[in-house]
Amino acid sequence: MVVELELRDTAVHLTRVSTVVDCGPVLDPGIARAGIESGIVFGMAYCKAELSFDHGIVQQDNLSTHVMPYLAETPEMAIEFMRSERALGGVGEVSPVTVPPAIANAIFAASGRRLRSMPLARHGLHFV
Amino acid sequence: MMIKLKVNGTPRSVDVPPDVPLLWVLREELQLTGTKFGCGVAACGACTVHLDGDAVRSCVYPVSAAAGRSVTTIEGLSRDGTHALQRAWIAQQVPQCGYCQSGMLMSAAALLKAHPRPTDQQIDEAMTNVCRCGTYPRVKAAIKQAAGVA
Repeated sequence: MVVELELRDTAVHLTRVSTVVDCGPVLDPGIARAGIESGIVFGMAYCKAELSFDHGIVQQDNLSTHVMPYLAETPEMAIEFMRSERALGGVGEVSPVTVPPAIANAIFAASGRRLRSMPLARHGLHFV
Repeated sequence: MMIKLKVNGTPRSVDVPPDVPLLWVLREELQLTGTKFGCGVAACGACTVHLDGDAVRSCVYPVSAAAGRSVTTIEGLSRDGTHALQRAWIAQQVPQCGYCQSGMLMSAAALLKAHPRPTDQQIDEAMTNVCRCGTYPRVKAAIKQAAGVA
């Protein structure tokens, strides 16, 4: 997965995410693609907002305190599936996990700054 | 308190406290359950309906403020599910779990009414509904298809 982004001061705007998936034989290309697309947005959520706990209770209890990615922040996506003879795999949890490191790599390429944790707010950065 | 409003073209009267959110009148008094409860604080847009043609978040909209006005819900967006957006939504296979989608469609319909050929920026600014499935790329593509700006 490769992320392209624009970094302006503290504002991070993802312009394009390109990803290649090997999930074994693709049985339903439409559903598989939708799963990877939405997983990219889900992975952005890992980079956007943090959950914290107090005595085991989640402190962010609504969508006003745990803010999700928005349409305006969503990049163009280029998704390809490898022709694969490997065992059948899923696409549900494939793309989210690669998004934070790919964003961190792109930020490094743009600024020389290495992020070793997420969300972006820990580093004074935010999506636009 | 008896409140009269027009819902999807039909005059309706409901006997509810004036501060009840419009959402609960639609869902519980009128059984129009296409409109969803998401956050209850106008943060997510799942409850979006049209009031005199404008998109409003019905979870925080007191029904008394809608008295005498015209409300359109997802059930009234088109007679038979053939609004240009509904056709584009099917063509693009937008929904996944589907919960936010009626609000998405109502926001998009209000956008196209105001801007029949919206720019990317107008789409970005109007579509602040939250989708946990992450259907945003297809929402955007479907709006563009319906508007003929794809």
